[in-house]
Amino acid sequence: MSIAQRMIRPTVNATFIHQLDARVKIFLLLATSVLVIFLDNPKSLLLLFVFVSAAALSARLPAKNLKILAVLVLLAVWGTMFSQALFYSKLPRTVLFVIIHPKWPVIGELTGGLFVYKQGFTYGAVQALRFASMLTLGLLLSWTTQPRDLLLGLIHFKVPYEVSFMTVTAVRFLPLVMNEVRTVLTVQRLRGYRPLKSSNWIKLIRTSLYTLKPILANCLRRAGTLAVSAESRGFRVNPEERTYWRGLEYSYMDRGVLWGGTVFLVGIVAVKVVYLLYFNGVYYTPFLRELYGLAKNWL
Amino acid sequence: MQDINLTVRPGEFILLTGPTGCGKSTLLKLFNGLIPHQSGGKLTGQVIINGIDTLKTDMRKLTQQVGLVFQNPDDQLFATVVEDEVAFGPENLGLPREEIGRRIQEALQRVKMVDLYQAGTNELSGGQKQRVAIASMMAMQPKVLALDEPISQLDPVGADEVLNVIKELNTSLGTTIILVEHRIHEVAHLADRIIIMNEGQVVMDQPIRQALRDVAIFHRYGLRVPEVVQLFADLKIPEPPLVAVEAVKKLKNVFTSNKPDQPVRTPPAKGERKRVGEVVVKIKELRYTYDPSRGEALKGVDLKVQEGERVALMGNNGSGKSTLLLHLAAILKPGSGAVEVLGENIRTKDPCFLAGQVGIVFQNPDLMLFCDTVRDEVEFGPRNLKLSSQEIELRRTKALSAMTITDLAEDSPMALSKGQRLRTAVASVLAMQPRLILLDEPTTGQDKMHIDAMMDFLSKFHARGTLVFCTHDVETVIKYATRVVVMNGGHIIADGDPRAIFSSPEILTRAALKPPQSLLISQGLGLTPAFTVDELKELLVG
Repeated sequence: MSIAQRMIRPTVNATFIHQLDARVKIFLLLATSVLVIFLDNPKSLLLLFVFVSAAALSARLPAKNLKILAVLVLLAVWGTMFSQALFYSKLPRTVLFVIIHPKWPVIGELTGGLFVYKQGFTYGAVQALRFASMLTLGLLLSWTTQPRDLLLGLIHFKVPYEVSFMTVTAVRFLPLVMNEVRTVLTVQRLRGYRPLKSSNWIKLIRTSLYTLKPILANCLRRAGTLAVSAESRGFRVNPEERTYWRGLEYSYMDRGVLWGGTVFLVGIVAVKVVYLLYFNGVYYTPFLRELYGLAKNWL
Repeated sequence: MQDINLTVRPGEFILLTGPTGCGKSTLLKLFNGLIPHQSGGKLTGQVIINGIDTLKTDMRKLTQQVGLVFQNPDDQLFATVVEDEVAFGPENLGLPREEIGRRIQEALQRVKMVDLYQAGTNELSGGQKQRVAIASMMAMQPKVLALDEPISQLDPVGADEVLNVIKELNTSLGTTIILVEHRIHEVAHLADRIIIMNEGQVVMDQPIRQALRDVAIFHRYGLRVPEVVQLFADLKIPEPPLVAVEAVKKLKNVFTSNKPDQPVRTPPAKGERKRVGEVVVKIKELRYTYDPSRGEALKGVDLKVQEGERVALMGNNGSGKSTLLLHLAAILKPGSGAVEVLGENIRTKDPCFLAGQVGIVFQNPDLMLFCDTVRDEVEFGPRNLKLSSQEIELRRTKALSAMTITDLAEDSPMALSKGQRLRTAVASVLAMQPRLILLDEPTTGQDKMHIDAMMDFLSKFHARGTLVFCTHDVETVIKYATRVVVMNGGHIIADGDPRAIFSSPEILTRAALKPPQSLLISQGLGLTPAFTVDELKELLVG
């Protein structure tokens, strides 16, 4: 199985995560996206990431999936932290070490120096934890949810049927496109062209065109057949009256997670809002002092 | 298309055929309103389906009149589960859930797939996928089922499954069938009537048995008639039958009454071709797995191919023949075992090292064409080999002329017909003058004229080279292969002279292959096995 196939193929297991209703999973994804915006504290963001990672581990995913997840998370964390450490512009900032000294001839004068800042690292870590949590949860959703459930879930969240259908169908064809890219590159190699062995930009652009052209032409032809096939079966003839053979039904467990998640999300947002009102001098009451302390330390 | 006048009666089974690009698929799209409702172009005239004018009726009504099934099952299935796929149409029509459930059950029963309603569409064989595609159309309860080359991508067993289902729908449910197909010999016995199109016009429209009395018109348009029909035409016997069993009965009568004392002749011996050249391919204990959950695709394959051989790899879909072919081009690396191509172990090599030595033509030529003009496409390889400009020109001229596309040299490959695109892809490989040419299902979707032209050329042009090709087409193998390697479940189950292999009913059954009609007739008549119409004719009349 190629990496592309593994990235989009859902696993079948009887774990708690697998059994959750697709709507609940989409809700949790949306709720987490709100949470990562509201949370600024590295401790709580780390806690959230640990919680999401624990959920991923509890889904008993194949080792190769976990490996892909780990590589993606590490790349994201490293990339975000390093770039933020380099390009942190707020003040105050403390230089940890110098990469290019401003007094170096030519390059130093041209760049004005390149430094790694301590505050940049911290800020990068916060951003990285946000990104890593969303990435983990997103992959967990796609690895534990059957596409048909995902389709119904998206429709439940009022995403138009056409858009939901196209999203899920595009995901189904992604591995096929990846295989085609591999085939095109091989064809080029067998005709004496080394597509990826060059640092020459012109050649890399030419390679991209040589590869994109047949892939796009093929995608367009396939899309044409898919469109004709869908339209032959009445797709879009009457979107308002469309019915559904399968429905999603909430179990007690789903309802519990949904309510629990909602209460938790609303609670966090409320505490944060109350704290922000106090912090900005808009509203203060001594009754909420403990809450202000909690928010300051954790949120 | 122009000047089309056509009447189809309820319950008819129509075979619609003609050379590539003649307008067959366009005609099908007119039946369920895709043209003009979902396409551009200019339409004049009327199309009336069950009394409904397609121009004046919306798609919702029309899709319930005519169901459309396409060539490639993978390009028409959206859902990951069988029942969802079948439910898609009724859901779009806004039917109540109970009705959708009833239609799913009924449609899957019709195509004999009811046990697999919860199966994943990716886990199905090609034949099963195509049956799901038919079921998903039948769930719309159409009066007419139009099918665009539904068996061209299937192995003989898959094709039989699908054709039996189509015939069953026609006879038991009275569904009108309009089937587009090049492989007339596969479907002629099922159809009532044949329509031949050429350059957008209907050039023949007759009951099929009557039409097949005159094979000249089929030859004129490069169409292949059933071997039995060709035999009767050559022997000048009227009323050709369509299946081997009928032919045996008739021939017994003819040859018993006319030539009672004529001794049975034997065909000239076709001794196994000697393999004396250098070893081009050497495979030892090759194993390969795509996905551990689906088991091994190749399970310890041993094979040697020598220079000058034309080897046909045969077997049902999923038998491992394409996987084996991809190893020969170093596209796949052995899971275990060894593959040597032209003396080099491919395990650590990039396909680049085979450039100019090995050429591969895929079933889908679109993935092989990336230049702006046909000329650039053919010159691309030789330029990368850094040949002289005279040599490049010589190779280009020869390859273009061999594939009869010299006049298309300045055209964009993307703008050509599928047959022309395939020939451009072949020309681009030939210009490299490789010692080993690999072809993956080169006959799919091609009419006989183009198949013969390509294989004739490869056999002659490449006489000293080696050819390995995957195919289900027994007639092409008999005509062009010097050796057949039959695969089943990742193993090689037979390897030898095509005639010896096709004479073994056991091998044919295990590999899901269909014997040529000539062989069945010769066996039915108690003659020495004959593999082509000419051989059978020689046996019968000398």
